[in-house]
Amino acid sequence: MTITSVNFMLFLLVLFLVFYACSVKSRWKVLLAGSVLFYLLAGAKKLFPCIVLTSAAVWYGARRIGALYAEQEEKLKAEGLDRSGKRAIKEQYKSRAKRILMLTLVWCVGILCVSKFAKYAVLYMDRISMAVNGTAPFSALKILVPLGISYYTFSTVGYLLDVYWKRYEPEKSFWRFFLYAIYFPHIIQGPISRYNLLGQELKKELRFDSRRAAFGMELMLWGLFKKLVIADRLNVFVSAVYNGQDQAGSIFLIAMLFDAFQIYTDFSGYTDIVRGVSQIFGVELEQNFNHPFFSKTVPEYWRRWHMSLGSWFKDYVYYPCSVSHWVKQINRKAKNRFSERACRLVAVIFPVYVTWVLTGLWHGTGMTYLCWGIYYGTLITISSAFQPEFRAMTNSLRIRTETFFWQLFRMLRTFCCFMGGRVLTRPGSLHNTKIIIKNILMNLQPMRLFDGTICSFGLGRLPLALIFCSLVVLWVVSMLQERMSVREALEKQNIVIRWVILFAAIFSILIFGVYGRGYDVVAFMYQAY
Amino acid sequence: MQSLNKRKIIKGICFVLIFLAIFFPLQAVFQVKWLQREPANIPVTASWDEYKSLEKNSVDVFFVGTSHVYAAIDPMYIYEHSGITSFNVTSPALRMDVAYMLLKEALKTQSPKVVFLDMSSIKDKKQIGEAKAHKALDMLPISLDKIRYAFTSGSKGMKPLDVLFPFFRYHSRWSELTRTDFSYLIDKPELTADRGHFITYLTQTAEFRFYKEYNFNMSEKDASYIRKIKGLCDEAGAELVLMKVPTPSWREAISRKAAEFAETLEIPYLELYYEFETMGLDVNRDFRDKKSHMNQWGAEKVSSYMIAYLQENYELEDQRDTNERWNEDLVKYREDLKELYALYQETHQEL
Repeated sequence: MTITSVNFMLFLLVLFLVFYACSVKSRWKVLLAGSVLFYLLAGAKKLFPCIVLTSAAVWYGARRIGALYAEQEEKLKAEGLDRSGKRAIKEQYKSRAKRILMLTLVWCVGILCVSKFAKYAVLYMDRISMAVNGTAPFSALKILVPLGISYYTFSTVGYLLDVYWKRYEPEKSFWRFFLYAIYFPHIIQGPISRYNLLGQELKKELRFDSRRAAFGMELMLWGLFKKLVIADRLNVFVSAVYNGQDQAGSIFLIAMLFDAFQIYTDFSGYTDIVRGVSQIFGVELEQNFNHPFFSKTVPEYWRRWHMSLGSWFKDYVYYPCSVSHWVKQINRKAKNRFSERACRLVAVIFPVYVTWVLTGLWHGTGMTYLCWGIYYGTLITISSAFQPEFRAMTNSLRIRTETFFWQLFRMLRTFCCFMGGRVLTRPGSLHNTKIIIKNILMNLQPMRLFDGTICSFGLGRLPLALIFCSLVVLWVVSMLQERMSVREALEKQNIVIRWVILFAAIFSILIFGVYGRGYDVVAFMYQAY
Repeated sequence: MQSLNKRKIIKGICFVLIFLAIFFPLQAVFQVKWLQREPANIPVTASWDEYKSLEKNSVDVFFVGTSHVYAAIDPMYIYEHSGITSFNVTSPALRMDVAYMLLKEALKTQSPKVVFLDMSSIKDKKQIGEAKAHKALDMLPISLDKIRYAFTSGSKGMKPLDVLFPFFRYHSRWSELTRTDFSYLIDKPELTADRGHFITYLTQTAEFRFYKEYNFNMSEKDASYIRKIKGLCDEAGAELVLMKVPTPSWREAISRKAAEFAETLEIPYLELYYEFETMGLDVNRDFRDKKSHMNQWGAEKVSSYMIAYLQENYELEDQRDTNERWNEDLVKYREDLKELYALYQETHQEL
């Protein structure tokens, strides 16, 4: 059951009716039951225990850590303790809490790593077996990955760390915590919600609000438009180009451009749909995209793209890494040998690269993703390390940085950097990436764009024109969203205008959407992570 | 507060009504319209339009069945030579469940005295293919039967939503819509006068294959739908006759089973397979393909036989002196025949 299917819409309708038919106090239980049902219908049923085990381990681990901290507080209150005695108690409890934290982390991250790396283990075992006795007995093994494992592991691990760092108290009810982990709108593709936000949202009184429900449905419509009208149609072209033979460089360039828009509309479309769904039930999910293609620098881009992942890595990897014992030691050594600026650079490089390599590995486990991580690590390091030089260069060239065209240039530059990252991963292997880059540089053949070749990749003239029009709509709406809340602006309009826009949206999805027989169902691109 | 809720409910209802008011005409635009004669199939949309245009209760005989029926029975030929009005209520590869729905719909405007139900389709246990299913189903309005079919049919790749609302099947046609798709809504093209018969002079030698030893069990589903069809006919005051149009390739056991079943229902069974020679059918001249579909020469022979059968067993009125519409259509039909024969000769000579 995909979230763009009719079955999902029916599921949603039934859940909606049951949800609001129940008393306010028991509505969270309906959401929990609905989320479990959705998980069983959408993913591999056999792997349902994985999410239960991860949630149970984290919940129990956090409870134990919470209990230790409470015990520590009790002991610290005892009279007659001097400073060193208090420190000793703190250290004792900190070390016990750390042990629980590490055990739970090993358990959760272990399940995640097994599910992500098992395919490579099978591959290597087969290679060994092939070399020894000429057979590959393990290739028949079907490695299943639990639905949304990366998302729920990150959400729950984030919660565990926050409890460990005393950011908030642990949740008492396992079922409440389990709802936070398995909540159906965010389980497949995020956002990677924080417990202090989503957990609290799910705890509040969930009452029906027609305005919020209408807003939710409008957001769903916008998400469906992005996914079904733009992303899935672009996929036809991009897949045909990348799966085909050697193409002219100009065709690859168009495929790269389309691929960038495809992944954006696919993922942000998904986020809009699930945020809309969640709003209908009265639960606000975090924003995951903020028009990343309007970013002027790569760091800004990553603050606008998959925001929940970016902030997760920042809070739970980058910052802890920056203040870690290792980095402090490296810094100390560098201070003795290099200048102050170089020292600052060294202090930045290590956490940045660790964060980006891990981000790459979160997205995928092959060499392509490792390179992708290094690529972004390098870009971000360069942009922060050489900022004074870049500023001096623009000054010396007398570039007026406040003009529209300069801002546009910066946006295009950032967009090109993003396309560069995509070309490392989308073609499937570094060998394919090499072919694409080679063709772009040595075999561009720009006339291929005008001789009809472009229409031979599954999309004729009319579908290509439709893509162009849809991208214009996307651009206009994104521009408006940068300035105002489009839904609120729509709400203020006359009913005729409002309904004309809504019906136009509904029917453009129904007519131009890529769904049903004749089109393959295209899975959401971030679902695999 | 109450008036506010009332306003919201009214707004909600209006929204749904406007949606439906746009959706259904749009569905009609997107739906595939089979209006032109194809090499092997009747233009089902045109044929159904023709059926709906007929004066109420003006048809005395129905022939219900698959492509074998619309190839073998020529209602206009029957009319021309006997004055008996008949119509082929058919669709390619029609199964009994869809035949039941088609007949039910057809009986809304006509009250025939005799209904012939061809048994060709009971040989197939597999469900009808998606494309052929749509040909029959798209013509039918939403009904309980259609809803049941949507959720129980085994047509490969066919989704319930596609059966009930063909728009969801055809929405991808947006880039290939023609002027006819729009104009069809307001102004239907010129009506055909074939009465559901497929006219062709194409000739190919049919394969004569007769399987004598072959066990056959009619599926319970087919049996139940034939019983339902019998119920429909009883309600409409029509006599149901099970029949088998002659095809060179056939299995005796199926005919035997059909005859047995007709006996249990206490209705006649007309086995035309054994009348092959009586009708003077020639496998080299009277068929258009190896699958035993007849061409116009074959259809005229079978139709002649049916005239004799109808005149012998039923008292059906000769309407040739009174029925203006049918007489007008007969002229058009003859012209069509001439045109198609000329076309055949042209291609034949070229070959």
